[in-house]
Amino acid sequence: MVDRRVVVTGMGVVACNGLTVAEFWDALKNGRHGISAIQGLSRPHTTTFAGQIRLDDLALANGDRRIARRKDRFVHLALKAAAEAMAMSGLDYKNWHDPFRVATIIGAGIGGLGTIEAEHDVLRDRGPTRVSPFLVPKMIVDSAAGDVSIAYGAKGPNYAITTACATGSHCIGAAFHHIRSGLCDLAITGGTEAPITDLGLSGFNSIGALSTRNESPETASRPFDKDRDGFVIAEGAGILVIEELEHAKARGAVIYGEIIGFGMTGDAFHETQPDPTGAAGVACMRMALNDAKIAPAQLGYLNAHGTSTPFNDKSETNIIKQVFGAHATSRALAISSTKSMTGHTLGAAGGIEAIASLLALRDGVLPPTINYTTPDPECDLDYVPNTAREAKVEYALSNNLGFGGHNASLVFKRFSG
Amino acid sequence: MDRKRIREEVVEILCAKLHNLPQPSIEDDFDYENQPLVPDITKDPLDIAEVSMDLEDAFGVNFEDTMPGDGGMETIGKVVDYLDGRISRRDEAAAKARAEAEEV
Repeated sequence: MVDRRVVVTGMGVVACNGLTVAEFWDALKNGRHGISAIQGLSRPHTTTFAGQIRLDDLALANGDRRIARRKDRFVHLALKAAAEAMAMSGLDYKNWHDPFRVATIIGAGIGGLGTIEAEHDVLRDRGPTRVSPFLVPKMIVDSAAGDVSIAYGAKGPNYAITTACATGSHCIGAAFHHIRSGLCDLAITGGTEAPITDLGLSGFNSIGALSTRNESPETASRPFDKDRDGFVIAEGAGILVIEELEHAKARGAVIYGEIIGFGMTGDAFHETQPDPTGAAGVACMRMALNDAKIAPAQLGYLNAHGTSTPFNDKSETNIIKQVFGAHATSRALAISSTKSMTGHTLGAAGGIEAIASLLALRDGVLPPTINYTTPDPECDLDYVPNTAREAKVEYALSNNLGFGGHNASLVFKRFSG
Repeated sequence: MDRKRIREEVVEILCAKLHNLPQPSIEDDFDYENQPLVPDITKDPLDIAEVSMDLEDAFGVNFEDTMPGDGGMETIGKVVDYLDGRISRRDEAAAKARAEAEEV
């Protein structure tokens, strides 16, 4: 049986540098970031800036106080991004042909951390009987997938994958597999995260993962630059509507790109550090390229995990060199990290960066790595420094690598019928 | 605390969370007394659990085995009656305890 083809027919983004796909893409093309001083936390933190979205939960819930109260912020972000993706898809979700063939696979790296913190305060101060009945439905990591499916009556496979910063990519990859294999025809899929809480900041600071460039937040996310000092934590969501090609064609859908390959491996090395040999990262990208049935030299753009931590960017450069060889070292392969503009949205990154990759293919514009000023001898590839580049490319790959050693690579193709 | 004040506070608490219930200032003629909570105002057990906790906090009582919307508290008026009864008994017990303490 010939594999069914899987195309993207809807996209939705909520990021600190754009609250819609159009705003986000305009920001990426023009090198605009959304990093600024943190607002709304009660304690002083070592890092004082982040990629925050300047909409409160009530605004994200379109002014509905009941909805605002009942859901954690990571779900509000997913619902907003899903609404944009569903509207873009043009799907008539009130009249699904078969709702059991519509999957919802949306994950988060953490889940309702803000809710857990607030209710733990209640437990400590007022006792177990005062803990909110909404604690459990708000905090559980699968609630974004659950709530999005409720909003659109999607009754097919429904779950969340949690693989830290690779979450969004794994979710899209799983949904891609389900459609390709024939299990379903459509999926609403991606990642979401709302980690900017007192506990979130404290934990990531404790392991030294975050940039502390407090004097210059706007230049703190500087992937592959010699002076990078950690990632910039951010919130957001990136959701796709993906669909079997003939299903999309039959309803006259606009097709934004095609998903053609997925790879996933595990480092089996350390809780937070990448394996310095890069063996599993290399295997992951090779798996994705093999799945896509393309040679490494055919890849035109690589949207890197590129977190701006000293470890990641050096390690990722190493694995890219192993996979692409002279194609990378001769600078034929363009690589950029859009986290330089969005910050690192953890579980949402795979969703947001899939959209960046798809738009790069569609429009022939490669988004830059901003804040790249000082080359690092250990990161010596073409990172599309500081300004976007016009380049018509056929294939793009998006990497996301998570604490725990989770590696995920997705390969996209410019849609050409 | 008299029944009228209890009812005003109950309505205020319910309105804060159950948005199908009209606000007192907007709908003065609304028959809160005979308004069933379930399913008219909400069908969601999480809503009931949440407003029950808010009422317990406000009036210093526990609903224990029975919850608003059910078990004799089907309407707002019956919720008010339940709270009024509990508060009256508590006040009487407190008065009795005070009197006994004074006698000693």
